[in-house]
Amino acid sequence: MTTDHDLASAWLTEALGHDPDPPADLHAARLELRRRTRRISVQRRLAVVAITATVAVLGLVVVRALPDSPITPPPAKHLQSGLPIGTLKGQVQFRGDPDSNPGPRSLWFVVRADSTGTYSIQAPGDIGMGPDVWPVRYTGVAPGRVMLTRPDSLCTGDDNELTLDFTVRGNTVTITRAVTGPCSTFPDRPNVDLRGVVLRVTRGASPTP
Amino acid sequence: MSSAVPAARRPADATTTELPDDRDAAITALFEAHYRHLLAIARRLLDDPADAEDVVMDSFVGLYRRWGSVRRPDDAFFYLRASVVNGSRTRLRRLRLAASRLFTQFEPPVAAAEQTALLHLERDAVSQVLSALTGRQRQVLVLRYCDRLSEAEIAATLGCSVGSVKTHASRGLQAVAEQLRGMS
Repeated sequence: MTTDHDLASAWLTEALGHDPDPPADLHAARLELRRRTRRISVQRRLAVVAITATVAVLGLVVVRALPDSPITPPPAKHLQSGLPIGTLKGQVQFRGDPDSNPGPRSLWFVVRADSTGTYSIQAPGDIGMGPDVWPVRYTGVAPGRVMLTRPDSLCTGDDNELTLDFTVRGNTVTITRAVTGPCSTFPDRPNVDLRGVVLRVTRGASPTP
Repeated sequence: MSSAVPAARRPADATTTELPDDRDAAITALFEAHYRHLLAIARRLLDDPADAEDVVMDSFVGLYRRWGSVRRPDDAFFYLRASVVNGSRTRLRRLRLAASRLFTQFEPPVAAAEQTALLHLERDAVSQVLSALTGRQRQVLVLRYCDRLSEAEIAATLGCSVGSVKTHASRGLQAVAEQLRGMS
């Protein structure tokens, strides 16, 4: 039995299914499409140019409007000689007879960014008056060489306390050579060899040992 | 839709053809392959041939603008067809809105004498029957019988569910049958 839907469907299939393409002025349509796409291309190029120019001008304005920005340099990590800033701590072995208290002793160097600091030696288990702490100034002689001078030295003419040659590797400083000055307060210097002493660096450590 | 219709008609099989990399060349190739077919769809969706040409042209220009998002050649044709269908619906809605604001019944725009003659020739029985349908019914039936799309493809093109397509098709066919009875 044929329903209304079947009839309508058959009619539409016949009418629309074999619908020939309608007459159209293809040439005019091609020209119109070309005209409109060209206009879009031109608009896009103009927009890109305008945006680029605007960004450039704004950038210039911003750069000129900015005050000389106070850019603070990052805190220094080394003195000019290459000596790390912070607390350098290691152990030295003292030789000699038992009365001169041989054995290992702790050695500190406190190095500040303004080239001032202290150095100190303390025997382990020392419960006496505590370690002597000598204020010093670190003066770079060359890369890997620093001279410690004592501003409060009573010596006139030569306040050289200690000159150290060193190498830095990571967080350690290895002393490769040590020479004491004529007025050095370094204790028992003949019985100690600082060569090969490894100092561990603690950055931002307390200035006093 | 219970009645069977022939398999989908894909003009010039250009949907599987590689497109040129250049945007202008690709649009030109698509235009040559699909313009007449899309115009046929638009003519069945709109009453005014000039409107149909505008809608098809707009769809090509829209594709030109969005060319960067076209991944495959098939996408371009689907975009064009959906754009024509949606553009036709928008055009009809705008015309009806303008007519209602003027408190007058919508009349097709007055065309030049030459165009009017052509218009009369083209406003055949099919156009009359289609004009009596609602917008959605007309879209569904045109895509079904003019472009031979499946219900799923129509739903994807119109952005609605398959159930909705079935409903519109059924009601549209009923309306067409009533029109045919009236004409006979």
